[in-house]
Amino acid sequence: MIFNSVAYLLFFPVVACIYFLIPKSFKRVWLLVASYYFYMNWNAGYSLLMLFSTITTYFCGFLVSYFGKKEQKNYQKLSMFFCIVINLLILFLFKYFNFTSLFMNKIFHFLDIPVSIPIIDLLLPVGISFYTFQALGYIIDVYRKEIEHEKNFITYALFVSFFPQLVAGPIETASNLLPQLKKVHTFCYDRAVKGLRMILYGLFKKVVIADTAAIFVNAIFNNVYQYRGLSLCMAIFLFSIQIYCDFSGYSEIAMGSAKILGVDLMENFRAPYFSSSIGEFWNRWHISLNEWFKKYVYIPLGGSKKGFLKKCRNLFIIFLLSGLWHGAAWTFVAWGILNGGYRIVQELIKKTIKPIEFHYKFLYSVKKIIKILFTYILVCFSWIFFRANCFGDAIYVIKNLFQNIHFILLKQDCITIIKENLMDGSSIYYFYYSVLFLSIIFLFLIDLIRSSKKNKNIKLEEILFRNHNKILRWGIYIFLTIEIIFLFLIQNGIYGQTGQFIYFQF
Amino acid sequence: MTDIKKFFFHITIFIFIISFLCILLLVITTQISTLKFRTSYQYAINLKYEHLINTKSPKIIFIGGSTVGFGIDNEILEEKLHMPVVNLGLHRNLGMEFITELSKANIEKGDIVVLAYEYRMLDDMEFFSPELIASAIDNHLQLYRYVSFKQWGDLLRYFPTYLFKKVDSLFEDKNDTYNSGVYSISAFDDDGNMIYPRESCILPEELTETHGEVDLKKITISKNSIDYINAFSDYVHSKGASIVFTFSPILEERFYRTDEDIKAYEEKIDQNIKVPRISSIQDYIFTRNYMYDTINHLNIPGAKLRSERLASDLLKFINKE
Repeated sequence: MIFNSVAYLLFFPVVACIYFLIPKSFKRVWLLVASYYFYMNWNAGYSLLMLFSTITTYFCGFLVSYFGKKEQKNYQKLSMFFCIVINLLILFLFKYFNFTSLFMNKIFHFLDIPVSIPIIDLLLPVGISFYTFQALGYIIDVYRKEIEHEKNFITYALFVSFFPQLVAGPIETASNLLPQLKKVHTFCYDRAVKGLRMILYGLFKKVVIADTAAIFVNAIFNNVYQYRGLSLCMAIFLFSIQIYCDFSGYSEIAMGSAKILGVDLMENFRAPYFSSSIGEFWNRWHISLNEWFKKYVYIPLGGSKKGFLKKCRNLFIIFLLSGLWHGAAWTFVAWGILNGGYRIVQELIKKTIKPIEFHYKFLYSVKKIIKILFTYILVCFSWIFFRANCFGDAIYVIKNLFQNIHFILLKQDCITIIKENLMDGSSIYYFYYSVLFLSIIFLFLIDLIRSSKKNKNIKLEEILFRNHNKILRWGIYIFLTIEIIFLFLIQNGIYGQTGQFIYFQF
Repeated sequence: MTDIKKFFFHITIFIFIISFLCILLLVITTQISTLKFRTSYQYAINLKYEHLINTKSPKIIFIGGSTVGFGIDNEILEEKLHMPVVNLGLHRNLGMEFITELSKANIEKGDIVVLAYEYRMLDDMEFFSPELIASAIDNHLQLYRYVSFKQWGDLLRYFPTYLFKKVDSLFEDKNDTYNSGVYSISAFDDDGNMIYPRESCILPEELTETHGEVDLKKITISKNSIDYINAFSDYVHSKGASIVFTFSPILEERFYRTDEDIKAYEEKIDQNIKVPRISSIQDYIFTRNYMYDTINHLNIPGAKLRSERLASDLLKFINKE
């Protein structure tokens, strides 16, 4: 069940209504049942895997806490490591085993060693990376005594499987989510309205922008050798928009759904394309994952406190791991290495070159705009590796980005893509590109407002819907809803598919 | 007002506004460029519907696909049975359900409803083309009543394509949308009966795969079809009308069957469908002299022969009643 489906449109109101109607002692059980039902819609068998991970982490959490109280440090550490190893083994088996096998087989072949590791035909369980990392965060926090071991199994199981954030995050910390799950929530009008607004804006990002851009992006990246020059540039630009709207759209629907149920999830994106450096970008993009890596990998490795070289090494490690976390493919490894490289270069520049100070506000603004643009270009360049179907495709795209730069070719490609993937006709052509570009402008305007210092603490939905003129506010609701319905019908009827969320595969 | 009441009040208003605007958009779309489909073959469904509404009972109503459209000679049937005939058959892709539901517009006491579905319609009653339905109905909004709830999903998914096609047609040369030949509105009279001169067979000597075939052994009757027809039969009886079942015509050389297959299929119909079967498959297998352009479409001599056989079958039924 995906958020942008009729099934979720029926599922969520039913779950929420029953949640608020039943006695408080059943509320958590109900949410747990609903969460497992939600997950089982993909693959019922894999819910057992999640249950196994949940039971393992729950009992290990109990042991870590028990040995901690008894001051038996070794057993405490052993329990934690056992839990980490079990969870990582599951993750490795389902996500990285085949990748490693293929790689090792190539090495054996190269070295003429007659050994071949088999390839296992396994389907990647949806959201495995998300709930595994959440469970690992929990066990480490219990070990560090940052939180108490959760005694109630239902509450803990709900913490791992809470359906709004189960399959694509945000990766929550136990200290934020567990206390909220323990509370009894009653219906609150303001929360419900805020939640629905977030869902609406999330759906707008996903259905109207990401899935519309996906038609162009998929057409180019799945037949990359047919295209050159501006068409490739356009595909990269649109992919940068697609992935942002796809993932942040999902996060907003997740946050909105949770908010209605009385739970505040952490913010996952904060206008990332208005960052003026790569470091800032990573503080605004997939915030929950980066916080996780910072807390559980970067800082334990020494962070920035053990000298410049070690800081660079640590940065490189977390970006390499981040690349691998996203997928078992060399393109993701390259993407991680590239971003790690960017960060190291940024640190080097910061260390060696003194920044030029401008006294005039105008020049300062120009400098900032140039920095934002430069950061955006670097990020877009790294997206080539993220989206390309294989390493060879990525190299082809880079080599041909500036070949055959003709607007007429771009126009021809734009028309052909619509003709082949949607339908032949001039009205759909104008409709498709107008909707896409007007929506992107709208998105950037909202993000521009969000990125200003003045609005740093203002929530997204407050920017979008803060106008107190009721008619205008309802006008926005209605316009966005009609647009979402229409684009949803186009994707279902003409394109023949509703867009899966990109981050479900991770 | 409590929080919950206030919330549901606002949500109801919101859903109402959105539904209203969606329906308004749908209606506006149907009114754009109404000439686009007016010369099309499928537009004949509106003529057939009008004829159904305006024909007084008792009457005979034929339900089926294009085999009914191409294969009935009204004059013969009206002369032999002394009842007016309404031919609702047009295209299999309109779907078994839509065509059958459409007949409900005017079924009254004394009417005889003749089910003459093609073999494949019974096999897959869910099959229909939203494109064909949308372009057939177009701005005749009253016909949307006969689209079933299940079909609405597909029809709504087709809606954007329909809208874009209609908007495009605003800028098209009007001559481009003009259709002619047997697959155009000019092939029908004002009552939606086919009048196109189809004197002989125009099938090629060598038939290919694209011409299709029917292997009786492989043809099934779905559970949904059985349930639907039986429910429809109850409806017809509740109106004081009669309902009968007959077979569609088929080209002999592309109809793969043995006597046992025919017997088994007829038994299946008798056992499952609560509608009297008035015909035998054998009587509706035709040689190519009687066919027109496909393995199911009859030419004029074929339509005459089939109508005579149908009249005889119906007379037997009426006399028995």
